[in-house]
Amino acid sequence: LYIEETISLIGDGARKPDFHAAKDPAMNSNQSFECNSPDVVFESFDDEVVLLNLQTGRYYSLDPIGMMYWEYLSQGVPPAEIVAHVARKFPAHGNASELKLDLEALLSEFQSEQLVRTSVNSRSIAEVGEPKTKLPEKYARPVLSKFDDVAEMLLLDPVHDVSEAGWPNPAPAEPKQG
Amino acid sequence: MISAIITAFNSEAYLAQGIESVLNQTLVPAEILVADDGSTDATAAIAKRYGPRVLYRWQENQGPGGARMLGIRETSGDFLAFLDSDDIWLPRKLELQYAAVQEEPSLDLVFPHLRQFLSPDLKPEVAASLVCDERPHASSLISGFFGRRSVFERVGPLFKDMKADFVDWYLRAREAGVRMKTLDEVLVMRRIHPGNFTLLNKDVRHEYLHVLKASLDRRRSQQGGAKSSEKG
Repeated sequence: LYIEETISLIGDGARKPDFHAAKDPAMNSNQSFECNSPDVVFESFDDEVVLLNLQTGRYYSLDPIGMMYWEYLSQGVPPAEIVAHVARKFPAHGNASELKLDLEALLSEFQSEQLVRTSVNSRSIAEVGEPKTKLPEKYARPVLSKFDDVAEMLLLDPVHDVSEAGWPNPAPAEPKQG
Repeated sequence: MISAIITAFNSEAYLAQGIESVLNQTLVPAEILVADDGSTDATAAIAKRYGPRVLYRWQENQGPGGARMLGIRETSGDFLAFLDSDDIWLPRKLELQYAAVQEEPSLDLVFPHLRQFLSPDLKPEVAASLVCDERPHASSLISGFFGRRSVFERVGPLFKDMKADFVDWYLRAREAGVRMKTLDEVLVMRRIHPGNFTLLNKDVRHEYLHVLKASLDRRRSQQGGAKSSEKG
């Protein structure tokens, strides 16, 4: 995984991922994940996926390989299955353990940026279908770019202050006493 | 000369407070204009109550960016300051922003800090569902905008028919190298009410993602252009 922090001004939150350390010793490669909505919104374009975390105001871009991982991961495909599938998709790459490290590093970033959460809804590659992204012929490490140049503005949107149900659903009424 | 542009859309509840906060400035702008984005309520009547001190222009609804552009076209100041009609300026806003550009003439834009407040007219059950962060925030929101008219020649217009018009413009301004400063003082009060919950609207979120995508594409092509000219 290659993390780019170009143009952005990420300060104290900056975390340089350590690609070689085990990300999360408890990570189970059969665990499923999903997009951390509604705090996180994203849209897949032809050449990248753009994600926005409304709780932090940061936004992200993933290149096509990263987008492929995002699409599978955010739809509940367990990492082990994703790695096996990507290895079959790029037979010339021939190094499944490197793919596993790439996905683990990416997942670790997704988790530290709170872009995903664990899910009980496991789905198979066959269920989620082919990624929308146009993949390159050769495998390359996924690139995640982070930006916070409009964080100040986006953080001021009061969506952040609303309970998860959010406006226009009013807060639950206080239970009546007696 | 400073022109204050108040954009309004069905703002009968809050417009008078907004206008008065402009009239109460320690540095009163030479021109005050209400740009009405197709209101159908008493917005026009309230604006006209102030007589010739407050100009009023109406156009068919075009969204906030379209209304701001109406304000830019219909005013002549070399400095522009915008106010969303539901927000409030504190009295020294224009004075301190104008002083900042006098002190540093290379500045194009000056933003203040702002503080948020829960609109006092909200029904208790609505107010209870909102949590208002009252800490001061650096504000690059439109109600804090103070800048040179010429900056629009460099950056281009605010686009109509979109809610993320100012995020889009702000990104373009940064890409264009516009010089900005944020003052430490809290000079704007931002009203929290259900109407400004834009990001809860799915279409608006979608729009933000498209605005961000367009900015990423422009920045890459700028970088690409710079690289190829280095080679050449």
